[in-house]
Amino acid sequence: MIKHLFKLMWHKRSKHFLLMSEIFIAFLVLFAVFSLLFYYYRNYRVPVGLEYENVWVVNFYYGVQPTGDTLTQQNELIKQTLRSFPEVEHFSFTSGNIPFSMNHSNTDVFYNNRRTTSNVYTVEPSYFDVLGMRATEGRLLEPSDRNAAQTSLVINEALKKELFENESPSGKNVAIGDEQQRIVGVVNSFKDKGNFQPAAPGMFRIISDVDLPYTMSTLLIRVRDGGNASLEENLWKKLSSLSADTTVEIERLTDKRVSVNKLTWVPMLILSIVCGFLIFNVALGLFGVLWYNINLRKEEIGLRRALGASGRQVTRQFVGEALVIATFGMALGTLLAIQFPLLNVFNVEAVVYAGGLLLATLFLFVVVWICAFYPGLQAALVDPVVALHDD
Amino acid sequence: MLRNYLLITIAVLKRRKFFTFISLFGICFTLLILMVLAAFIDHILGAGYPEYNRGRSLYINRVELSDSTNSWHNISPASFYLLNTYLPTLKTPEKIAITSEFDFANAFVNNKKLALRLKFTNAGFWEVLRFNFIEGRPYTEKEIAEGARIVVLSAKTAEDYFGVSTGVVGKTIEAGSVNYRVVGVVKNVPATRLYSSADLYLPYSCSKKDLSKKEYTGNYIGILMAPSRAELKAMQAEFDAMSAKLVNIQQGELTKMDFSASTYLNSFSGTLFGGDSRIFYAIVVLFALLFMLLPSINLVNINMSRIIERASEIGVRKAFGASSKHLVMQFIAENIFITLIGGVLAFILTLITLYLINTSDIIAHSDLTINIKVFVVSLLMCLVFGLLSGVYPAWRMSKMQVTDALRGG
Repeated sequence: MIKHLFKLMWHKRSKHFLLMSEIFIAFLVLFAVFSLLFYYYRNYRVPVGLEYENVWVVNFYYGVQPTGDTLTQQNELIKQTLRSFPEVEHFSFTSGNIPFSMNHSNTDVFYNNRRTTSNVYTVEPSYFDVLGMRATEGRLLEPSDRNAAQTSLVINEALKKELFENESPSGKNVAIGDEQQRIVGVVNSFKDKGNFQPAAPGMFRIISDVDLPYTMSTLLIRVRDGGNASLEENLWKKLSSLSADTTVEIERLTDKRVSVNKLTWVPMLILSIVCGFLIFNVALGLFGVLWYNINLRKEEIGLRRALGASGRQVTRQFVGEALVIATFGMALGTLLAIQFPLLNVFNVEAVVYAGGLLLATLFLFVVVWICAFYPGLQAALVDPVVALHDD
Repeated sequence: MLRNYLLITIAVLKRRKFFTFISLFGICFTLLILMVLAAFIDHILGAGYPEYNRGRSLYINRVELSDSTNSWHNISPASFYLLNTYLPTLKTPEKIAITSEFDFANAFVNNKKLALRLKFTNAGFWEVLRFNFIEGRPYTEKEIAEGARIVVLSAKTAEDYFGVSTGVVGKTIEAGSVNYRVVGVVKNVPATRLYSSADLYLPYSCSKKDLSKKEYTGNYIGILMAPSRAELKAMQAEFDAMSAKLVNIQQGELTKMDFSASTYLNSFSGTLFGGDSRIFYAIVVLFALLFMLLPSINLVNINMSRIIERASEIGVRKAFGASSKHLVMQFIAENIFITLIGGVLAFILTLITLYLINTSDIIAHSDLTINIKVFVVSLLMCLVFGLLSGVYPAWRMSKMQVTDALRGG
């Protein structure tokens, strides 16, 4: 029966060319959208790996960039101020690429013959306490790493996986530029660019004296019980009063997370709505055309009914025909879609494309089935006497 | 003739209501998306409140410093010093605006924090950009020179801070632990207009930064306004001649400076694609055509089904000597009529959609509208869509053999 249907449709391929090309394009659109949605969904399911709830960000905008002695003085003054607040549990100066910010800083890392790009975070040892990160291997950064002869690095699991696979990285040297740097420990992976982004490779190094000018603008603090507006006002007033020409701004990581997530889901929502309308449009068209075609084939139906085919068999034939046309279109689409994982176009795991492909195929089959079923039912109602009398 | 075509079209539309619905739905929805897109692009790039003078202005939003070996580059907005020293030497510009990128300050009201965006500007800012003052007035060159602590608020800031948007002139607002006297309140500016939207507008003399420092990079934007659109080219030439003399500089190890001005459109597409605006438009047109592809095929499909229905009509017309060309023309005209009907519906839906976007919080204070430009573009899109989906069925139809057609398809 199925073989027969395929043969039938193959002979009429030029007649159904338009329908097939419509299915083909719709399939590609669905493949793209489902792959994206599946990619973000997979990322979303992974835990964030950071305890960001009670963390505030303090940004300092310096009117005059402090240098030399003023720099160290200013740094110490800020720290003293923070220590005077009992509500502040931990704090750490950091490079500007804090969690959920748009700020990136990365470098190429080499180990043996492997190379990968990793985020670089320049932080204080307390950074891990602020964000609730834990060591999965070795140790975290310690004050003694400051100004040491060889730079110590703490890497995350994602970087470990890329560079070392199953080896243990502790105590090994990696090359960054011309410099050999030593890995002292590993922390859990984290999604610092938002819930929908993958946990990227990352490494931490301690703020040494030369980094001081670049790491004086951003501060992360963990406050007890989330703090409140009056704590924020007090903190802000104290920090602002330290220097007349410095502007201080306080943000919450929870707010930053919401706004960075928005950058992913708002475009995805718009895309899904537009795609949904496109597919609805195609479905309506398909429905109309199939319905119309069946009206034209009343004689044939009448003949089949007269020769003993049941109403259900007629319905099955029409639904089957539509599904076969859809299969041709989708087979062509799959040939094209499969090039993405084969050529590794966007450096995304093949399973994402496989998921996209599967979802698009299922979805389109369901749509075509629905569109063909009602016209098929109508066809089954054709009375052979009336149909054959027509001509 | 056209009238006859129109009457036939309407008759055909009435014949099979379900097909009419499918056709119109497809057309309507496709054009709706494209019209919203056009309105959005116009909102971003076109002249709108308060940047009505975009068409005759040049924007100076970057300087590029490099070292002698050309291996180290520093790209950033210009410093106040650079803009304030060299822009006034130009003769062509009618007015010159200098404004900072965003600075931030906090204000606290009723135990609630307001995070405010600040812009430090010169007095020319208020003449190049035509703000709508709800009350009060802008600050003057004299007040800036005196270092007066005064401020112009956006209506939203006035509401958030004082609880009312009028009657606040003369009151004091504390932002960033400094007290400012309010001299004016302006209508909110859409957040997408980066060079003119802010919560607080302050005289540049209120900035905490040392603006007289002789450095070239900073966070200030310059806008030059020519007396008319025709003099834009002359102004660009004069600016280029001036900046050519400023190539050799000294800031740390950096010794070369590229100080450039461009129109808003070019500076926008330059940051996105590193090229001129033609690339940007090419990409937009390509996207629109790709997007129209699927609905077009759908419409072609439906039109093909309808042809068969009209086989006898075609047969009779052919038998009486109508040429293929005539028939093609007729069916294309019909299709364009249908598209235009869909276009009208889409236009109404677009107005509703834009209203919804404007009232929602997606873009703060957005003012998406359909102006003449967007309208003309929309009309053009209707025609393109009508042609795209009408040509193939019309061609197939005209190829029908008279005998087949008269027999009924």
